[in-house]
Amino acid sequence: MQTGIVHSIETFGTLDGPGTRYVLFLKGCPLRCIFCHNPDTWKMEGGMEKTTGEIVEDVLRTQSFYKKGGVTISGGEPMLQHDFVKELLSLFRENNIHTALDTAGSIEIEKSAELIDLADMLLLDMKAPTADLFETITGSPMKNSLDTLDYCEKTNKHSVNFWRIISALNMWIFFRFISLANTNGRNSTYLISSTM
Amino acid sequence: MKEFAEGKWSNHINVRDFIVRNYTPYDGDESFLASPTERTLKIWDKLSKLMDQEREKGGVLDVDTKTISDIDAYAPGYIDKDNEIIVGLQTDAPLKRAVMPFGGMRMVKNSLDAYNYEMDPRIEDIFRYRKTHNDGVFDVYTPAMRAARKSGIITGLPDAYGRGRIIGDYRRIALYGVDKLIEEKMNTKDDFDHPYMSDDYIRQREEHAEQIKALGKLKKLGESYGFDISKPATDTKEAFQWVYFGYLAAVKEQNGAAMSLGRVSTFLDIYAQRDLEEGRYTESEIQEIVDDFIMKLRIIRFLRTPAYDELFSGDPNWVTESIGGIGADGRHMVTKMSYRFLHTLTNLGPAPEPNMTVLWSTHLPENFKKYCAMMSIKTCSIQYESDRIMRKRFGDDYGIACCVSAMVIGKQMQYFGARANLAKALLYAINGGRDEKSGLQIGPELLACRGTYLDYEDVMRKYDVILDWLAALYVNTLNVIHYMHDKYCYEKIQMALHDDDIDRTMACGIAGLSVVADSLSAIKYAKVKPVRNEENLVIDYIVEGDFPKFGNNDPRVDDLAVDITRRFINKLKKVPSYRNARHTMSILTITSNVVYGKKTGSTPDGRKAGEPFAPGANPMHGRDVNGSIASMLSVSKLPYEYAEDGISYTFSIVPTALGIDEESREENLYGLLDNYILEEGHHINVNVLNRETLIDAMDHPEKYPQLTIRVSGYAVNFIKLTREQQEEVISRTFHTKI
Repeated sequence: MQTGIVHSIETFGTLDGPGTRYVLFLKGCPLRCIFCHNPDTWKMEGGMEKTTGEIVEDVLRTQSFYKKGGVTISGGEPMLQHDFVKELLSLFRENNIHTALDTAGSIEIEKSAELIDLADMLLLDMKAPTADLFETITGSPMKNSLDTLDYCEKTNKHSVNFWRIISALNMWIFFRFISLANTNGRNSTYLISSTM
Repeated sequence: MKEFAEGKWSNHINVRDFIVRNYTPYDGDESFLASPTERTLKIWDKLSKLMDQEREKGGVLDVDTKTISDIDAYAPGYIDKDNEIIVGLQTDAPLKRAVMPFGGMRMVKNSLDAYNYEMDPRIEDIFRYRKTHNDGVFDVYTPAMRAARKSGIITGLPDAYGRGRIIGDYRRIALYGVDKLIEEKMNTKDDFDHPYMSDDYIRQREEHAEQIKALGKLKKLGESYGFDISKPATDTKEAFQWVYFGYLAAVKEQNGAAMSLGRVSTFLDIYAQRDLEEGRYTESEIQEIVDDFIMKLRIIRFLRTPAYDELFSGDPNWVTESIGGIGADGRHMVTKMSYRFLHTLTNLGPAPEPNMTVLWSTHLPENFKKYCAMMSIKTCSIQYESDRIMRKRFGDDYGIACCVSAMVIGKQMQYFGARANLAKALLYAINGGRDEKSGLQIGPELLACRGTYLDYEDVMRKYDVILDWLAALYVNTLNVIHYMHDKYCYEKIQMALHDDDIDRTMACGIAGLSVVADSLSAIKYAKVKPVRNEENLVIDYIVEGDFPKFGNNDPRVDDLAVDITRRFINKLKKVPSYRNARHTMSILTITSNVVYGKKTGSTPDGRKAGEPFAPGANPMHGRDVNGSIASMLSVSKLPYEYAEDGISYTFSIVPTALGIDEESREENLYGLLDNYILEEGHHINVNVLNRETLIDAMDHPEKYPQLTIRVSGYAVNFIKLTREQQEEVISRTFHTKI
């Protein structure tokens, strides 16, 4: 049984995916976004150790609350704890519990693909529309996020893509997002959210 | 006029039978509801202005200092005589408070002093000769009872005013008329003629005689307003008026802490439905009657002292109305009247009274559930209680007295017992029975806990002994109180609206459960170092390490809470009760968690001396860190069978954390309620609002005259809370998004 490092648990999540959800926030993130809400999730230190069994049992005990929702694995970057998340997603699938991965797609697609396949949906936070802006905002290259987006398109993954707009960078970014969306002919749902 | 379907009710008093045979369940949505009429708004405006004046005057608009309150003591009073639909006031003018000395003169005197009124010398003179409930209790209180009361290990005792929490079956007046009620009582008078006239029989016979006299006065009350209520009501308006006269008589006779209404809406719908069908009234006219009736309930007032207000602030009267539920035959009991009652929160704006209580079941119609969720989000004025678990014990014609106390209407009453402070009791265990604040030996003299760290087994052993002592002292104290209340301040009219044969419960209560659970958890799972003063009294604690906290669905600590609950009710049951009342227990503090906290020293969970407890069965503020479902699951583990008098949980959430838009908020909220009930949760208060709103209301009360918030077991006008209580409400956990 895998053990993961958990930042916190929100048993009544209503904003991270459809319906009422059990949201598991994992520790660790490779990005250093300038607008990050939870910098306390960046490092692995200071988290609670939990086994997949403990988490699944906790959810199953309260399953009735999540009939119209499910479980969202968020972070940090949840896919950083690959084996733990893989086991969790498989166990939830076995138990017919809907899962969402709340990710920035910051892991190489070769590794993350199997996790994406195991999750029922992806909440993909694109952070920025262009490579240079992405680097400015997150301190990392954009390749992995774009690969993730492409992979979702290719596999027809149910994914909701969040593209954030920072007020200071305003409409310019918004239009760049729109043009990116249009040129690639992407057909998944786009939610534009603004931060700050 | 169509005759009602006949049944058992036709020959003998049986309101439930009448309801079940005649009501019309309603599955539709709220679109039929009518807006307030101009007349309604005009009267409400007049009352709102009077309530503003009341607040500006420091909380009391006026007092009739010359009259001893009684059912027929006052000339009729009106708000706007020509335009009122339902009539009747407690005194001869709206918001004018009455003097009610039978519970205790001290309460009356102190209240009058506080608001600069003078007691009429004639009344003072009368009560030199007439003994009160309060006099009786203090004649008998033992030194141990006085000491426990003073130290605050038992508080909120109804020993100085009316005990309340008795619901007259006011519907009987509308259904049968007063003459029939008198006739039935006359018929059973000699049931209490017994070859051996023991205390019990003598008392019952006297009470019975008092009931019959009170019914006579009730008839006179109706006459004074120009109504003959000796006969049954014939239409909707009369049915409301008859029911209201019954309730009014009760609040003229008794200043009980909680004067609840019962379960009248579905009963009244039967009249409304017939009148709608036969064209006597339109929907708008019926809503107008409802609005007028509710306005009357919103201006019920009692004269109270500032000390009382500190305990239960905001002028609460717990005019609780129970709405919805499921019938024994499987049909739900939601009617159009259920909607109309809740709709007053729209027509007249949010308000704490009447205390709207929805008896929730997953089998209620979807439309109604959505409507309730919508109204909760909009008004924060509704509480929910599990019909699922109460129906099993009380059938389908029970109502809620006060906040969470279920009782079968007209067949059951309770002896209200306030509560024992279990957190303080834990400190007594650690300090060998000495009070942590005064150092006085209040409890039995035990060996105090020794050593650098507290030892779990040692503390539990001592705690058990202290709880034994406390349970015995507590029930004995309640026995004294209720003996005297029956003797000097008997609820004549309310009991006249009951059957002769009454089930009585001794409704004990506890405060500080989450403090105790967390403290025991700290002692068990972390290291707790007591800090002693020079008199070797433990006055503080240093907690080393982390420990599981109640409110996170963690069985390690939740089981401790369950264990304490079970232990205490079992101990209470061992102590014989007055009139063989069945012992029950509530986990409910109302707003008194602030005062209890004030009177309790630092506790081993890290709570500092004087800090408030959590309300009711709530986890301590800020310690339920895994979101609201985990929090309510911890609470729902407390078995109702150990706390049949109710388990109160207050849930506050900011709107944005409840969902992304209005529709998903409603859906998420009612999903949450459904599942809480399925998990055997008993009660839940729902508040959906932002902390910033409350902070702004503290500083600018004039901007928020109707801001209502649910506190443990009742709703309150936020700006009427004391500053301390406002701060406590604001410091509570508001579930937000991470």
